[in-house]
Amino acid sequence: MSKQLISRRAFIRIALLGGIGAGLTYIQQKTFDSGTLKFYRWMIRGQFQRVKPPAIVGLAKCSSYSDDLVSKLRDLWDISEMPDLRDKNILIKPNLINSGTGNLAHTHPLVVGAAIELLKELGVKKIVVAEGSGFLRDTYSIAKSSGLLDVLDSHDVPFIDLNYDELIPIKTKDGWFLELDNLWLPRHVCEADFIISIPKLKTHHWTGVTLSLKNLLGTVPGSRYGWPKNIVHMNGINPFIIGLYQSLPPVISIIDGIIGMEGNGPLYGEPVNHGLLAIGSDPIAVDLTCAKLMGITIDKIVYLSWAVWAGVGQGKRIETRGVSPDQLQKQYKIPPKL
Amino acid sequence: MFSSIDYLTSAQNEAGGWGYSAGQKSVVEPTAAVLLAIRDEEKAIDSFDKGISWLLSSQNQDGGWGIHENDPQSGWHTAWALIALKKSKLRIDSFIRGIEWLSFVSTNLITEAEFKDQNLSFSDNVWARVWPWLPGQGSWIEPTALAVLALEGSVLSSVASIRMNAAIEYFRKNRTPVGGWDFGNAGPYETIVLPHAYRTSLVLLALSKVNPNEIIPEDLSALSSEINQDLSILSVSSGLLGLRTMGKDNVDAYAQIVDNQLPNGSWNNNTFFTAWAMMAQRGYF
Repeated sequence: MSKQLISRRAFIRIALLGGIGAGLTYIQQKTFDSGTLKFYRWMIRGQFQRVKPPAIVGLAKCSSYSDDLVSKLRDLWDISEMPDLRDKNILIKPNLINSGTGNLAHTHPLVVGAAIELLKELGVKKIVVAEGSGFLRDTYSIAKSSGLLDVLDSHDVPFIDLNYDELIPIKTKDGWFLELDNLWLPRHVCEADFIISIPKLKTHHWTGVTLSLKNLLGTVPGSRYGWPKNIVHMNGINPFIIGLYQSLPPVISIIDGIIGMEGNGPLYGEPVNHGLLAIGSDPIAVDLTCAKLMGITIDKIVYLSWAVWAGVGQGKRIETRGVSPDQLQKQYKIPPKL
Repeated sequence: MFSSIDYLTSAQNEAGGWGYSAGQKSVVEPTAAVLLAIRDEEKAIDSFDKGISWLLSSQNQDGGWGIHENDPQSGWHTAWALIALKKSKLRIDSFIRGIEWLSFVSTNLITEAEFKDQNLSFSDNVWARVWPWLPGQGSWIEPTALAVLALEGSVLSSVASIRMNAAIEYFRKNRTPVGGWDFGNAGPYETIVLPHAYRTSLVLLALSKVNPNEIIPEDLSALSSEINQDLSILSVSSGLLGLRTMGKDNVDAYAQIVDNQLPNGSWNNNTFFTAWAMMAQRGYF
């Protein structure tokens, strides 16, 4: 009987090592663009979310804009473990967009007004409402035609067109911008202690949904990046949304889903009587919850699935409070070609 | 009631430039627009000279301009700076360096080196040759119209001439179905694209300089109907200026500009909007 060239145990060890080596090489090649170390850092951070406390998302039913919105928001705020905003500078970022199809695409001004009243009750130091249109040169005119300016005047709160604000270069964080070390952002955005993102609940033909994270693109100034803000697409809209979120002050989400939009959003969709208000201090958790309530799975929303995977927020463990999600579930028509 | 000149001279920064609003750090775009607006005003001769000095001092080493002197990335503001410098006894070397930067700025499909080597691929794609907001990006209506306004009338390299011709073709191909221009997108998913007054006016100003025959009656009718659609004083002002450049007028637009002037002499407390309103009232860019 001839002697074996290599023992069975040694063969298994070599095969295992070879397999591990091949696997690492494959991952290195697949992650070359983002950077392998960064890939692992994001992945481990994402898995770590499983042992961190759950994010709280408050949900309420609200069938009409003529309901007592302040009470609804106050109740949600109280049950959702929101941060202490006393003496803080707040920037409210609604979603104003020129659709040419009436006001359906906008955050409803009365939701913004209710948020302002609540913030005043909470003892904030200063409130500004701000937006920077991605297409029109004059966001102020959209604020006017949408009725938002009248609401702001009644609360004595100023409106800032972020496209014409003074700009400050800030260092980008967490490596989502591959070729951008700096991002120029409006002074009012940089100086806010908190941003309150109040989007309209709606579908979006590129990103799946427009919720509190996507709404933040309005903080990117046209005076530096143009109209439309082409930089968003040069970097890839999905990593840009995540990277922008991480470069901003802490973001709180309030979702206007009283009347949502389905189909060919964000501009030309159809109304949905959803009757939803949602709130939370983790925009990833809030957006994920709302997307589910629209009947849209996370695989349709690339930026959200990446953000959850990379642990940018708490997307692994979410606790809803208030009205049960079952009572708020809808099935939105998804945008064509999504 | 203060005059628009009073507002603009009081909003000028010590170093000579203007921000978009009083007290804001100077930015190239509003500075250039204000310089165009005040250039024939006797009360503003000193302001004009100081503004030109600030523009010259904020030019980047590569010949282009960023948003201001602290922005090292040159971009679309270069065209605005050149348009303003054309109206002054300009410093020739700064102007020539700016023209060169704008002539060879890269798009998402052709690099600066390829432009300089005249290695122009995508010969059937005018989009590859016209102007982006920032280097290396896709092309859009507004920066292309501004580039044409900046380059016209100067002695151009062969590449710049090719790009100017591409711009004319680009305007022709990117016109909206009703005439006029939006920001340059074909429109998402077969939705109707409507022209924007501001972009339409910029293109009309550009074409009126380089090839007026390209302007069709629908462009003017589209501008007349869009001039007041979005309730923006910028749309009204730029729209009226576009019409007046083409020998037309719009009495309602003029009245709206007059009615919306604020007691401090400005429109919207915005120097850029104020400059456009002034130019619309006098009737030339």
